[in-house]
Amino acid sequence: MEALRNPIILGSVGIYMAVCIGFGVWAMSRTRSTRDFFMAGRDIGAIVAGLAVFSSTLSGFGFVGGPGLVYSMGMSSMWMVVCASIGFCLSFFLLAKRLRLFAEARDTISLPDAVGARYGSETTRLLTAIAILLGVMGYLATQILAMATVLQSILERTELVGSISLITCVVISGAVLVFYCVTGGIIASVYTDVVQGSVMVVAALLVFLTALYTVDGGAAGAVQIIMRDDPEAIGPWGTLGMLGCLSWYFMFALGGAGQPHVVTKFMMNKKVADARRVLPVAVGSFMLAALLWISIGMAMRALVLDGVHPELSNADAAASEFLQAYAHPILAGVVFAGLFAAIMSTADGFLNIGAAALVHDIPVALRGRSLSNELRSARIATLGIAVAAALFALYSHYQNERLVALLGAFGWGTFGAALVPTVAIGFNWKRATAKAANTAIVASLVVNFAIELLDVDIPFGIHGGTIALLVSITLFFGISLLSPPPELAPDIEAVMDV
Amino acid sequence: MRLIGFLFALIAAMAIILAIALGVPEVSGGHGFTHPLLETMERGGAGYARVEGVLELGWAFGLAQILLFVGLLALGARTRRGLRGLGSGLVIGGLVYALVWTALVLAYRSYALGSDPALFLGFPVPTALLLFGLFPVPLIFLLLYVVGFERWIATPSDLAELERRLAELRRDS
Repeated sequence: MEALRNPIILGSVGIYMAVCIGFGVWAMSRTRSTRDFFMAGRDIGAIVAGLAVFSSTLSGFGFVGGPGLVYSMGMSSMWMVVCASIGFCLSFFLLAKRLRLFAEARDTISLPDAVGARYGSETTRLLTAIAILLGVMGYLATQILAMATVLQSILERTELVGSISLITCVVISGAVLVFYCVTGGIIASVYTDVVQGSVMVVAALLVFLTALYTVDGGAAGAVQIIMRDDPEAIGPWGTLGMLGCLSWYFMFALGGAGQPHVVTKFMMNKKVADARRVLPVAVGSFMLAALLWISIGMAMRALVLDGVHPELSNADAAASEFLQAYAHPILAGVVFAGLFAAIMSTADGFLNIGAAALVHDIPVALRGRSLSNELRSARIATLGIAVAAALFALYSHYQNERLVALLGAFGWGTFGAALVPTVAIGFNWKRATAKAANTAIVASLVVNFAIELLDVDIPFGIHGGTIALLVSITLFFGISLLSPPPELAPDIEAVMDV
Repeated sequence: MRLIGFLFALIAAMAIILAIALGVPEVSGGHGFTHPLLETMERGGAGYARVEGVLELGWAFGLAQILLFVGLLALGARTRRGLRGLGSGLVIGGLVYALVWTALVLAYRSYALGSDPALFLGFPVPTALLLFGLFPVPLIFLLLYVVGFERWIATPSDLAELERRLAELRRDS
């Protein structure tokens, strides 16, 4: 069986990709309008929506970057995981009901559409769409890079392929993603999310059990090894320290309500009341899948510290090295498929909202109507965004080598700081004004990009996204309170009364 | 309006706490440094010295976050008729959340000072409180959402009333 390890892994990934392509073909016949392409005809059941929300949230960042962060920083990155329970609650309490009702009242097909309706401002719609496009480019590039890196490591281990360039891997994996997103839109995306989410949960559970038996003494044994080397690494803040971890907790918990690829799915439920069934499915799946994040990271740190495994070439290799060295070949195959599932399930959501911004939101904001033949334009835009993000990913990779995980965190911070005040708070507070929303979006982008581009090292490891989020919320509250109360459209007011 | 004032005050408090913390000198390698033998790994090192002067500020920052989160849950759940039966559940959930957070900080203090190396469920006590306390505590709110959605957050009569109102507005326009 061991001799067949690499063919099994490659075969599993191949089967998974074939399933995705199959969903694309199936969904194409069900996609007849832009409402289908972007909103799945607002006909998604609770279990499907729950798995879609979960799998969109847990990206390649969780399967590749997460274990890498535990390996390199100890428990620090657990704050990105433990915040999920309150983070999902915040997103659902603040937005699940409200966005679904907006969709009903105004037939919205994207988040900027709902923002435009709420504030009665095309400028706010435009700024939201621009923020989404910028965030999509950063985040999608991360996903594409992660997908290509994993595919490269798989293919290079098979005798049949041998050496293969990263660019070729970007093309192969990107082609599968683009195929089902272009043909089936969000319908293909949501239903592949169900498969992807299920694979991720099963993979995580099996990996967790494997990791327990890989280190002598199980989890407690791993803890002892890590603690002997550095007690702080296994303490609650890991190597990052208290304030750094708390800044992650804040940004990832509250920032979740500003992730457009996730919250857009709230508009797709069949019924408003479905939200109460969607939340436990999403949280439960995430908690199970998070076992992979912590178990691989801790096991690899302990194994390397104990001299059982050689030092990794880089922290992001923790998951793939663990699977290659310690997992049963069939399990490794399932998990590698799960890894692709994690990456693609997030990337497809980004492609969809990016395309909506390009063909619908920005044209509506600028000239009062969307592009002609919107469905065909949406398919072309999906392809264009994928190509642009792939080029951006390759440029970042060759020009500026950084952990995939930290790029992912930057994308999350951009969305969070720009959209939490405008959407999560503004949709629940009638006094919020368009001027405040515009200022918050612009300020959040400026602060986030300035911190990233100037490479500002904030003391105590405090994340720049947290500063940006605090600034944008403060401005949003302050400017709204100082401005005259806005006049709301009667239907919007009625929705906000519920 | 009172709720918004409370949320705004919390955001301001968080900004002030962070600003004060940034003025506290950080020990060298305070947020991690490269492991002396393994360059792909980091160490945290200095134990209590890393948090001296910021532990209390960190606790306050965390507490403000928790209050902000619970306040935002209330903002999202309230309707024209207020929070109805949900208010007391949110307060109780918030109190438990804040208590677990405070216990975690106190347990870490003992751990970092080297006076409490005990393990609980296989982890150092403060880490166990993070994984098995702070992580699941917000499930209280999840339970409130599941149980209370149709009772307090969006009742069938609220939705029917909205549907009537929207239909009227469409007719009028």
